[in-house]
Amino acid sequence: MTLSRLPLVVQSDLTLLLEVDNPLFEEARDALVGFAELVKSPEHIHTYRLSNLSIWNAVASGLTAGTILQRLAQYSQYAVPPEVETFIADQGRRYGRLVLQVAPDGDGLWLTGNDSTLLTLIASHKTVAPYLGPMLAPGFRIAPEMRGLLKQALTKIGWPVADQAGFRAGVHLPIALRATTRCGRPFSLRDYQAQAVRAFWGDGQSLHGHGIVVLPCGAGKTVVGLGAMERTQAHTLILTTSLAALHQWRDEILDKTHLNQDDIAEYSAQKKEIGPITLTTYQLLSHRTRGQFSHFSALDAHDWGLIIYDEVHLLPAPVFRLTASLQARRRLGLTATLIREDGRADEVFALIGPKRFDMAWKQLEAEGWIASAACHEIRVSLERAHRERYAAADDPERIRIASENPAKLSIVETLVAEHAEDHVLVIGQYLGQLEQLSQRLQAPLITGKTPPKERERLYKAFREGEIRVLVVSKVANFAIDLPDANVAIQVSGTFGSRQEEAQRLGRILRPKAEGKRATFYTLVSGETREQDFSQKRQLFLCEQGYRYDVAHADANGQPLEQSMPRVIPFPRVASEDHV
Amino acid sequence: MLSMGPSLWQVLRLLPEEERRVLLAEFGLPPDPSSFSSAFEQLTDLERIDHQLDLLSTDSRHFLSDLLLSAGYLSWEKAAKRPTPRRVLAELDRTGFIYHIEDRYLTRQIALPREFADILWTRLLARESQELAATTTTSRREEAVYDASPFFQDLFQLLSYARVEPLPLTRQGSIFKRVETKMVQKFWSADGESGLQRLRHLEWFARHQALLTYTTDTRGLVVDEDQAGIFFSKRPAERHQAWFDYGFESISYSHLPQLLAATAACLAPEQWLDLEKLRAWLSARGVLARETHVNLDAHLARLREVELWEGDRRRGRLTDAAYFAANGRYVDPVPGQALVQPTGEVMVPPESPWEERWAWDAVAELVRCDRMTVYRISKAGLERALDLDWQHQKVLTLMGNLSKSPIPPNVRSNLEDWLRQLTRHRILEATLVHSQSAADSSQVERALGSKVLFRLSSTDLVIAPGSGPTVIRSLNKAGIDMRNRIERPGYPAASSSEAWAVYSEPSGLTMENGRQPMAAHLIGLTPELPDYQSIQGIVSTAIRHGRPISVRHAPPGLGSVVEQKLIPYRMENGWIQGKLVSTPQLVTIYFQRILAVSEVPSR
Repeated sequence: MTLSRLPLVVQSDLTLLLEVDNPLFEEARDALVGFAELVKSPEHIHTYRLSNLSIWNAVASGLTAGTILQRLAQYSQYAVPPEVETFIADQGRRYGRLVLQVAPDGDGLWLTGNDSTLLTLIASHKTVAPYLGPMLAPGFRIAPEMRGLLKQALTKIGWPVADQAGFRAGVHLPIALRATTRCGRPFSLRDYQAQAVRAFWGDGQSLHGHGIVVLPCGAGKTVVGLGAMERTQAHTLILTTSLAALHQWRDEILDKTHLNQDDIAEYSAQKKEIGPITLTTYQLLSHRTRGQFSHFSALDAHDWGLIIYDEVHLLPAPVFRLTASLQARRRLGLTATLIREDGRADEVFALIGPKRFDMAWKQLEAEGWIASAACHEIRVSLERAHRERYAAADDPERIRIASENPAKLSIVETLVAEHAEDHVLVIGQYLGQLEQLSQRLQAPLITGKTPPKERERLYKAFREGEIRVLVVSKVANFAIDLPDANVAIQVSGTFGSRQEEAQRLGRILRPKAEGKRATFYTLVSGETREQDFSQKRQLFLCEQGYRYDVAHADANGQPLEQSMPRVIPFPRVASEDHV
Repeated sequence: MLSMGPSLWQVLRLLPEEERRVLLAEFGLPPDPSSFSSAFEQLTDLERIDHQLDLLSTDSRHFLSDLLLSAGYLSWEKAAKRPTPRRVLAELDRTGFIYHIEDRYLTRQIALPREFADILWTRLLARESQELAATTTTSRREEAVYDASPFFQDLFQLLSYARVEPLPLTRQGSIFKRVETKMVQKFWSADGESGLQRLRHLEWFARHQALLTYTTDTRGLVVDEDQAGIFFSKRPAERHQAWFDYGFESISYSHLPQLLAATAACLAPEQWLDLEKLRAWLSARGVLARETHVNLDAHLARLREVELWEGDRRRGRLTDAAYFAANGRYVDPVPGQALVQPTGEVMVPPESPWEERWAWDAVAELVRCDRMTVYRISKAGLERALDLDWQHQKVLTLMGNLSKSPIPPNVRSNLEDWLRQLTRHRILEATLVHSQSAADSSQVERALGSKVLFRLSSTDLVIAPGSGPTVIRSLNKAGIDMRNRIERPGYPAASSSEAWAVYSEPSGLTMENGRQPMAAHLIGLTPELPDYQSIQGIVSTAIRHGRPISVRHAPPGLGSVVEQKLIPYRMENGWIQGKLVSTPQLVTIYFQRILAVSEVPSR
């Protein structure tokens, strides 16, 4: 017998596979949104994952375990595995058994629940006990500064707490978005941006108001931040990755809201201002003087209603700890790639909040909100002498030899010449290589050593079309808005960093005038460790549905047709030949 | 599902010429062997069977159902005791359902060929079976059986593992514990003891089907590629029948497991058998009386172990896969359904035929066997394809044929690059006949003929691994003398002292038994005349005080003199024994080989 196909496959390891080429794809996708996290969305099958966190969030937002199972059964081609049913039912029961409220006498917070056995159980748990105050029947009094740590500890042992203690409203600040930007362009939140803001804000109560929005580079995460600010109507602290990014935020706020220059303060190495909207950098926040986070203390003293973490995947470790003490404030994390190479993405979830909104890159591309991009990998042969050096070198040196393959230079020249009408970013890791490229292409170079003012001048000149080719180091990996860049040539990178690859592609994803296509080239030395790293780097983008075309070039930078040799046959021996 | 009674093919072949002629004539077929398959088809035609059943009397129908409950055989003695036996047998004779069988001991029995068993059970015993249903019901998770049911998924995982590396065996012949644990972790929702039990059944099933075979040193199990290929290309029904047959192989050759399964297969999907009612029914039909040696619970436990049965002490039924397989409700395998993603992942849905999965298994790494089986195309995954000497075009064509969509260009490029890299160099272990000159080598080549696999160079011929001794014999016979040993260049040559360490210092007290090379030659020793009296004095003092001595002696076969420090503990007429100071080793040294002994000064 043949069964008609439904789009979903529920695996016993809690992954959900959703077939794209199925008439029920969109319907099923919408049904999954409330309780499953999108992990990857390549061409044919999207992968979602059920986790205890995703089930708890779903239950917190009003879904029941029964509804979740019913939705899975409705779209699942094969029977839902019993272990998945058990998991959902079990996790669904856990949320809400513990509640965190303002203490009845107003002195701190109160962890309570109806299940006295559970309260006894958590009190005896060594990871939770340190955060519990004295008994306040039924439950425990909690010091406000322990709120984040307690929630994190309870989450880790599998008993999430429904935090109903609310957030500080913060100092009121009227914030309104403009209908026309200061530059004179009509402006409103796009549908998905409005959805992201709604997903973050919820009903304005404590179940929401903290969490992460994941959107591709160029999809307007800053605007989502502005939308959240508009909802909060309060003083806001914005943490960014660099001074250039900080200034971009400032410009966006001025361009798209009715706030004016006086409402925006910069807390940077140059200026130490605190205002209704304060912009600072992670670097400054985590700066220590005599072991103290002096800048953090200064900023924490202000009554913020909202804290925005830009590029939250880069949140430095010290800021994790500081964030634990900011639990009474609304927190919004923004990122394109919630991948932490240090594997601490879970901590981001625990402290900033769960992923509230995510959207497949290709979906945004299809809707025209980000530019479509063609990705090419060019595998460049190493010239004989370099190949020999490579063979004799140790591992770190090998990576360097492969990354700095001189044959890449002439290929970059060829590509830049081919894209004579385009705005080209040449991105790399090694300064020597970038300096050579800068000279050969007669293009300016931005590195970590370039003074901030000079950087901003060059970015501005690039944006305004005065400069057509810009050579940049990894300082331009994040949070730099170069709307007209439409070609990126990556000549070297940080080992197998997936998020770096995605961020670099992200530099050219702003939608282009006349729907122009973006082109991303990555140059790697063939048959070296760099090629292996390249596979890993591309994984995130492949998971987002991007395809890489692969071409080969010889050591002179000329295209190379690879022919397949015959497999060297192993002499097969008939059994009678054995003695 | 039921495999009771003789095969109809067998019966037709065994019929005497005259009777066969009569049978074939009944179907209007000419009396030659080519008519067999037509006769077989007509005999097993469902419409004909139903028609014949309609014509039967109640006694005959009852006789048939008793025959089924007796596992397809009934003795003439028992048949004679039934009501109206002559009429019943005459009536049944016309149907072609029953035959008279004599075995080699001339036991005479009435037999029902197995090809009729399933259908007759459904027609004659279904109603009775349904009356045994419990009052509670539980709906099934599936509506039909996928070929990729849990039992076969895990079997596949076992074979996939054994295809990459042999399953190592202990001296008792069971798989090593660490490998068992690793395998069980991969299994489809089975862990701990149940996982281990499943693994052991899978291993036995695989051996039963000749899917696993011993490595040449018999220390491990590897996949028999040919048998596995045949097994995975079978139709789902055949494969599931192999599973049933394995499950029905029970203690004491009882047919009760088959009867239990057949009874349970007649229920509606959501129903359970009430085991009390079942017991009473089997007892009333005389089945339990014949099966006194094993109780029902033991059979059910066995069926549960092989995953054909589920339930508790009060109720039970066939597992989903077993139930739908028993009723022939298979989801049709759909070829070419796999999807290759640009990430290199390959998604293989459960309706993909096993032969395709087996092919994927040769070219990609198995990541997870689940509802959707996931493979990853990787460099490591190509190893098996290379082992099979598949050319890159074959790999790409195969992948293209197995996939629903074209292979993404980046995956294709990676594949080509990996194949190019992996096949540029290979390590081959070969046995060579190396000759001093090209002319000598040609002479050897002529002498060896087909024993030469190929010529490597003007002076080197490659022969089959392990064929060295035969080749030496052949060359000696052909008048080409050579050393009777196979040399392994590249191994560090043992230095003389190392060689000495191996051969000259016998361990323990085994020297006297003659198994050590005691009768070796003495070569080129400088004649010295040791003072044996003084030696004996020094040795006996050392034994008394437990002190070490230094002994210069010429061990047999070495041809040189060595000096060793030892603590002697025994001295006889011809030899001394002691413990070496440098290593915890006992040595025996013959007086005739001792040149000098001295005390070792104490520190």
